[in-house]
Amino acid sequence: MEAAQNHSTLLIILLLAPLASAVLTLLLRNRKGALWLSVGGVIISFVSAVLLFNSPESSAIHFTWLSIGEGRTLTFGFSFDWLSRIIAALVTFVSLLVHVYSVGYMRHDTGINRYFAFLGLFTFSMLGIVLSQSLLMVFFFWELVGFTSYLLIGFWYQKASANQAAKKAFIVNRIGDLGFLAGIALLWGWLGTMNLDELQSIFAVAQYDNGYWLLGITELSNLALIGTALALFCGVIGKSAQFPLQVWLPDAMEGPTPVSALIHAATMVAAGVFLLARIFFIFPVEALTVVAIIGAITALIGAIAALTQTDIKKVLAFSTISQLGYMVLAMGVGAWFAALFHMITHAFFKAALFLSSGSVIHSMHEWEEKSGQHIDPQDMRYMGGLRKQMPVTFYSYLIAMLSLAGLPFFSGFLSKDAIIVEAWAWASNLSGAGISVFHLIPIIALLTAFLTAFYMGRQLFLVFFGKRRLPISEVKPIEVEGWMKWPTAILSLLSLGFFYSLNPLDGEATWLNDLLKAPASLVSSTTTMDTHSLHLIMAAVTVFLAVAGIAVAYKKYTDKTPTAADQLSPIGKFSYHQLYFNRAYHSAFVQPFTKLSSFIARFDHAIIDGLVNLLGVMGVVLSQLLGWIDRYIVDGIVNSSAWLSGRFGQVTRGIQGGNAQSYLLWGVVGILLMMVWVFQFIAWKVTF
Amino acid sequence: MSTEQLLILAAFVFCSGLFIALTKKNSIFILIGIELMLNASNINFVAFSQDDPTLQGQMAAIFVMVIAAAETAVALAILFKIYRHYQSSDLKDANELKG
Repeated sequence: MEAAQNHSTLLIILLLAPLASAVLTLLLRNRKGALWLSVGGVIISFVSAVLLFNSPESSAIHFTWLSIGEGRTLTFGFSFDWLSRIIAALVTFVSLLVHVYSVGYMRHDTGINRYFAFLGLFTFSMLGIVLSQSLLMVFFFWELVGFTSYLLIGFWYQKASANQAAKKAFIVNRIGDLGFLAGIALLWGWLGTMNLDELQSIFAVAQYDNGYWLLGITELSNLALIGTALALFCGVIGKSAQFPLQVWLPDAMEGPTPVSALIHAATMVAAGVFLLARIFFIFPVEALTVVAIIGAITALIGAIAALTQTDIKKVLAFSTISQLGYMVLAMGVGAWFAALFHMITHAFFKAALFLSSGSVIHSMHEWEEKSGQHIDPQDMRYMGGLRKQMPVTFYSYLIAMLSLAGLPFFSGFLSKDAIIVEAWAWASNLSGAGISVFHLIPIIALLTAFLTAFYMGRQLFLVFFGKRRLPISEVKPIEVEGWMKWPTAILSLLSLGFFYSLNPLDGEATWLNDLLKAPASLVSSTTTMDTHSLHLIMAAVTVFLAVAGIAVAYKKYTDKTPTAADQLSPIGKFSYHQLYFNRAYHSAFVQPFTKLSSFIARFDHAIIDGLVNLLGVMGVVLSQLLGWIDRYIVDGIVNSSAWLSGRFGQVTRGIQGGNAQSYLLWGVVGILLMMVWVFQFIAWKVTF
Repeated sequence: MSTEQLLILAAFVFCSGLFIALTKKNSIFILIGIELMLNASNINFVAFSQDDPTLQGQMAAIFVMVIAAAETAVALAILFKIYRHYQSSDLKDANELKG
C-alpha cells in the first residue's frame, strides 16, 4: 500500500515538475535562474520517470471527474503500464538533453525565459498524453501540445514567416483534431466510456457476427466501428503529419532548432503513433488497411520531397514525415511493436540529427557574424567540408544518419527491418500465395528506404564532405561549445544497435519486445510465413538498398558544387516544391475560401451594412422628430410652469420684504379686514 | 368730559400713533408711535370706567402703563443693539430676514 502511495507521488512529481518549473521560469525575470530552474525541473522529472520503472504494473491513479445521467461517469486517471513508462522516460530524457542543448543554442536570445517556460509546458503536456488513461484527458493534453507547438514555432514572432508557420501548424492540426474529438464522442455515445482500460476490456472479448460487433452489451455495425476508428485516426493524421495533412511540418522548421528536435522530430509528432498504439485494439481490419495505405503514401511523398531540398532542416523535416509514415504503416499492417520500436529509435537518431544540424546552423551563423558576409545559414549549398572543423558534430551526425539510412549495427536498421518484414508478411498473408496489390505497401517501404539512404547521403556529403563553399574569408567555421555538442553526441550514441538488441540483424529480438506487449486486436493474425528466413532476405535487401542509396548520393554530390539543375528537372521541381501540395491546397481550399470570404464581405458591405445604415438613418430621423417634440412641447410645458411659479413667487415675496413697518401695515390691514368682517357678521345677525 | 369726547380723543391719538409707527424712518419715532397707541387704549379704558364703580378699567390702565414701561425698556435695549449692529436707527436697514 505504501509502495503504491510512493508511486502515485512519484507520478505526480514526474508530471508536475516541468509545469512548475515552466510557471516559475515565466515569473522569474532572471536569465541564469531560468536556465537552472528549467533544467532542474526536467532532471527531477526524468529521475522520477526512471524510478517509476520499479513500480508494480498495476499502479495507477483513478478518480471520477463527473457523472452524467445514470451510470455514465467520466473517470480520469493515469495508467502506468510499460508503454507509458518507456515513452515517459524517453520524453523526459530527450527533453532533458534538448534543455541542456538550448542553454548553448539560445544563449544570446532575449526571450530565454519565455523559451524555457514553453519547453517546460510542452514537456508537461506531452507527459500528460503519455500517462493519461482517459481518451478525453488525452485530448486535453493533445490540444496543449498543439498549443505549445504553436507557441514555439512562432517563438521568433518578429519574423512574419514564423508567424505564418505557427498559424498554419495550428490550423492544420485543428482539422485532424476535429476528427479525433468526433471519434471520442462516438465511442462515448456507443460504449459509454472513454477510459482506455475499460475500452480494452470491452474490446478484448468482442465477438464478430454477420457484420456486427458484440461489444459488452452494445451491438455495433462493422461500418460504424470503422468510422469511429478512422475518426480517431484523423487526430493521428494531423498530429503526426500524415498525408494529406503533412504540409504543416516543413513550415514548422521556422521554430528554434532544439524545438524542432524535441517537438517536431522526437516527441510530439510521435504522439500520433503513440495514440495509435493506445487505441490499436479499436481498429478493425478495414480501418487498419486504410491506416497502412495512408502511412505508405506519407512515407513515399516525404522521401520524395526530401530529395532536392536545399535547407538543411527542411530535409530533416521531410525525412521525419517519411519516417512517421513508416510508423503508421507499421501500425496499419498490425506490427504494433515494430511501429513503437521505430518510434523510439527514431526519437533518438532524429533528435541527434536535428541537434547536429542546429550546431551546424549555429556555427554558420557565427561565421556570418564574424566574417561580415551575408549567407543563408541554413542553406546546404554554402556548407561543405565541415567534418574537419566540427568533428564531434560530424561523428554525431554520421552515427545518427547511418542509423536513419538503415545500416546494420545501428538502431534504425533494427526497427526498419522489423517493419518491412512485418509488412511483407502481412501482404503475403492477405494475398494468399503469390504477389498481389497488397505487396505494394512493403515495396513502397523498400523504395522509401532506398530514397532515405540517398537523401541522407546527399545531406552528409553536402554538409560535411567536399570543399568549403563559403565565400572567401579569413574566418573559418568552428565547432560549437560543449553545452551543445555533448547532448548531441549522447543522443547519437543511443542510436547504436547494441543498446537495443545483441543480435544485430534481428529487430524483434530486442529487450523492449519483452516489455511492450501488444493489446488484443480485433484482427486475428495467423502468420503462415516463416518470418525467420524473411528476416534474412529482407535484411539483405534493405542493407543493399541503403548502401546503394548512399553510393548514388556519394557519386552525385561528393566534391561537387551543387547546381540548380537538381531543382530544374521535372522530377526535381516536383520534389523541390513538395509535390505541389501547398500550391494545390492553396488553390483548392485557401483561394476559394478567400473568394468566398470576399464575396461575403461584399454582401456584408452592400446589403447587411445597407440595411443597418438604413435603420440607423431612420433612427436618426425619428430621434430628431422626438427631439423637436421634446424641446418645444414637453420642455415648453415644463418651462412655462416654472416661469409661472417664478412670477407668482416674485409677487408673493414682495410682502416679506424684511421691512418691519410693512409687516405692521399688513397687520393693521388684517385687523381692519377682520373688524369689517366681524361688524358685517353682527350686522347680518341683527338683520335676521 | 363726556365719554364720547374721550373716545374721539382716544381715536385721534391711536390714529396719530399708528401713522407715526407706519411712516417714520427712525425707530425711536416708531417706538413713540407704539406708546401713543398704548396710551390711546388707556384713554379708552379710563373713559369706559367712568360709569363702572368697580374701577376695573382704571386698574387695567395702570397695568398697561406698567407693561408699557417694561416694553419700552426692552425695546430701547433692542434698538440700541440694532443701532450698534447696523450703524443705523432706520428700521428699513434691518431687513436680513426678507424673503
